[in-house]
Amino acid sequence: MVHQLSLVAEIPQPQYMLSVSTLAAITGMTPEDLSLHVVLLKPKFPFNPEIQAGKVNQIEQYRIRITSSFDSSSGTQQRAQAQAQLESQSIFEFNKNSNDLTSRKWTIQVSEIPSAGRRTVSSQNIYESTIVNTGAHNDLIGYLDELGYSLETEFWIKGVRFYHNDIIIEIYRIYVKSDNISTVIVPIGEKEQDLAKLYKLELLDKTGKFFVKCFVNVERQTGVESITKANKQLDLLKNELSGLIDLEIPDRIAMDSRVNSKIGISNYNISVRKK
Amino acid sequence: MNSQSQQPAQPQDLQQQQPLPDFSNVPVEALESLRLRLTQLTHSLAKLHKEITQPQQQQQQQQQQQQASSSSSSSSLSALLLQWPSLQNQFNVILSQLTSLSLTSDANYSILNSTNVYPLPNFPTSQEENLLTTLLRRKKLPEVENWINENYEKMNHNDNKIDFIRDDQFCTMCLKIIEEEISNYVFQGYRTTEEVNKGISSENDQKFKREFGETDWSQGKQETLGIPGAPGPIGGFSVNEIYRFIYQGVDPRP
Repeated sequence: MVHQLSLVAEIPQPQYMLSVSTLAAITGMTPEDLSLHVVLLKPKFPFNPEIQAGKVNQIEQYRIRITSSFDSSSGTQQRAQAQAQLESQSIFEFNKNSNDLTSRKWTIQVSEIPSAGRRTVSSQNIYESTIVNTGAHNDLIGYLDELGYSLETEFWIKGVRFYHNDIIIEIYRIYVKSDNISTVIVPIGEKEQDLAKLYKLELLDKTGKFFVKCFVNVERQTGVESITKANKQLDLLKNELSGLIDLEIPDRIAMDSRVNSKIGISNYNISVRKK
Repeated sequence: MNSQSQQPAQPQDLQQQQPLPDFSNVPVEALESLRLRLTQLTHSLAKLHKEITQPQQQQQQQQQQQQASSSSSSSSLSALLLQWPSLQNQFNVILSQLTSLSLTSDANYSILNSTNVYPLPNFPTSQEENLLTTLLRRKKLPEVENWINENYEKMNHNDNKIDFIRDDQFCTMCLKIIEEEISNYVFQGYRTTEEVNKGISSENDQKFKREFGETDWSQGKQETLGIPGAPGPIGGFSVNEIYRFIYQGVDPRP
């Protein structure tokens, strides 16, 4: 388990190069590539415990995420250069023989809703574990199915990452599978008939703006000393970047990954889904 | 004071006999400020003079002491000037005082030039004789006259002859060139003039494309509502909408 303290911001696309050069100057490093394929999974079986007096009734079901880094220029190098387009296979067409998806290391992640109260940074518990072995058949989906989770949605994160003291700074955009199925088909595995579709990825946010997340992972929620230190570092970074990247605290309700959450989804429906 | 209090009737009588002097056209405030400026100018000039001459004396004394105490004499006999920032500051002060002086006297030129000054009957003539002679003096002091003549001679001497019109022209030309040069550069913001004129530089464009491997760079630029660098809404989804997508799978797209 880690306890994550974070701040977020958004920057318009034209400011991307400027922000990256600024951060490169501040951190003294060239940015690291950040390419993540994220799959969101929800529990297969609804769990509705009877709420009884005297019983612990705070039992909630959480969504989990599995992530792996993806090769944004999958396929042959020449084609990737020629097309200049992000592509990836979809988890929904998972094939046991698919070299790309099965050869990756996937990491399972569960996150609690961030702590409430007046704070200077968002603070949240995250549980993480890397899937080392999915069993004899090398079947990721089967493995997750046994855990009781089914696929909900998938998306891709592409951006850069910086390290500054204990802070990890990520600038990224979110991509989704485009509706048009790419006709590009690459042979996978040894057999010729095992074919996988490569999907072209498109931006979730068409304005092309970037999202920034600065976070520090602390071992425990109770480690007061390290939390104070992390808070101080984030605060310093916030001051240093203010004007260019205005870091702020994200809405904790938006970070609620519980299934049937009473605050999360319902609020969303009222306030945002009016469009 | 004493004489006035003992004989209060006399000035009153005089005032009754003669019409009250008319001060309405006298630029009293301007004259007063002139006096103040002159005092200040005298002070600053004296200070400058003192500071230019004094350190040399001090230095000379120090050197003499050094020579007396030790045989190894530091051979820095170079002319000792003040630190340039302090010198420049003092010159600035003096210049602004001179400017203020000349502006004030220039504004009241006609009235000052055509005014005769005489003491009022109640002026304590015998007591303030020195002041009176100073105030009423119209001829320059002999030494001042010498300075002026000396400078005129220098100015008209062939070697040092200054053509003021040409000098002014040269200054104007310099200023013009500086202005032109300044306009060639951008001293604010994060882009060079070249980049501003071109939009985002093509090099950045290519770098961006290399990194993200995409073709919607220019399209995205158009759709972005905000001007780069300007605060305010930049359109698109908010961080919280994106987080809802990440954590809850809620697609923010309509």
